[in-house]
Amino acid sequence: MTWLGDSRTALWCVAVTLIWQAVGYYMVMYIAAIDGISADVFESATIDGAGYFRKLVSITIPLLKEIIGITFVLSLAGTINLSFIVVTIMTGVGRQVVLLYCSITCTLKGSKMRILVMPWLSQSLRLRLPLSFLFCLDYLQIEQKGRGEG
Amino acid sequence: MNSNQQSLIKINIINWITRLFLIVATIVLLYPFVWNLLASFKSNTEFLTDPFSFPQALHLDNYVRAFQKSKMGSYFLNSIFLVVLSTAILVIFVVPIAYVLTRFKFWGSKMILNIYMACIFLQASYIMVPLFIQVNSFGMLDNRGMLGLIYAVLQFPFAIFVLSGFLRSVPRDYEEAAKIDGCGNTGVLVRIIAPLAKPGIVTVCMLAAMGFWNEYPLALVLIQTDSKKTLPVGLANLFEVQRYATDWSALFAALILVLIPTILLYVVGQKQLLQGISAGGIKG
Repeated sequence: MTWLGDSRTALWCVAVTLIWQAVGYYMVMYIAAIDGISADVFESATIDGAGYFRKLVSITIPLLKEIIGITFVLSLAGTINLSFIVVTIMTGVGRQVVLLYCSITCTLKGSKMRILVMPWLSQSLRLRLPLSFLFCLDYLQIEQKGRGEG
Repeated sequence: MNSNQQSLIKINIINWITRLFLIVATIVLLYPFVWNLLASFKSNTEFLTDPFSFPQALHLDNYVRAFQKSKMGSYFLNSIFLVVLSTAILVIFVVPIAYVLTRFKFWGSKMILNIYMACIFLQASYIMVPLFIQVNSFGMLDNRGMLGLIYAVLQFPFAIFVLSGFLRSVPRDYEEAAKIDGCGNTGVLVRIIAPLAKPGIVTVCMLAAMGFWNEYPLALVLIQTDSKKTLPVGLANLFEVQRYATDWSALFAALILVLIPTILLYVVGQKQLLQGISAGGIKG
């Protein structure tokens, strides 16, 4: 029963948790977006003889293209941020990171711990910051494309 | 049976398959929450013998114990104070910024907007160390007002993103009419934009308030005195304590207590939230 202890399943456990907590938030966005599609489009598709599946593929998804892109990028950013907290809480590995935070708060004022702590943390930051800027670029492209079309 | 009836039956079957799928998905999503709720009503022995059983009686004393043991009252007050303060700061700053960046074209306006958009990806945990050092140098550690300000500022980019998308969908005619009638820029902002953008502002406030309520890493690092801690940090402490005291039901009761305000907020503001998002909020 140690799913979180097994290195093969631990990642999936964290993934399921992350998906579970994000579903509600993005569902609200999609509900709002689908609400925003005018009923006339669906009506005319029904008159033309389109079934449910056809309507989904040919109308709903193309009209949601923009919001799919935005939720995708937002959830990427959110996942990178939240995965830190979730992993911290769910697996033992992260516990050291919490300890690290505590040790920063306790010993930053000029003790030796500072020298030990900073390189460690900056290493993990070095891994993350380029990633987040990569997504910034991605995002800006989506944003500009959206404006060009609109 | 003619073809009309046949197709009706086919539609019915498809409807039921979709419905079944949705029901299963709902159960999967709600199960952890329901499990938590049930566990909060059990006594400790019941919970330890079978965590998945139904509670035999409603042990409401769990809630009383959770509230007393963990000093939940002061954590609640701290969290409420922080949420109100940060949301107020957020609204006061973000509405004018979004208005100016969407309506006025000046040198660098597009660049500022793009920088704000890029900052959506700067989360608190990336800039923790520099932030800590800076706050420390201000001598503002362990200060709830400062924490509220940081919360608000970190939420700026997303709020501006939502609001500027919303304001772009507000027609310019009202502003022009107000200007012809002799309204200044501030007047337009207060009398025209703020009321028209109310659904968008409410959406931003709700999303931000939920974020502030749940925020953990910053509150953990920047607040040290026990009486100033917020709910998530207090809960984590409670979790550590309960691990050795084995009072699990009190822990689950505490979790339910913390969930209530966010659920209430969503139930009350659901309509506004959906309206705000669909009226052009998140379209970019």
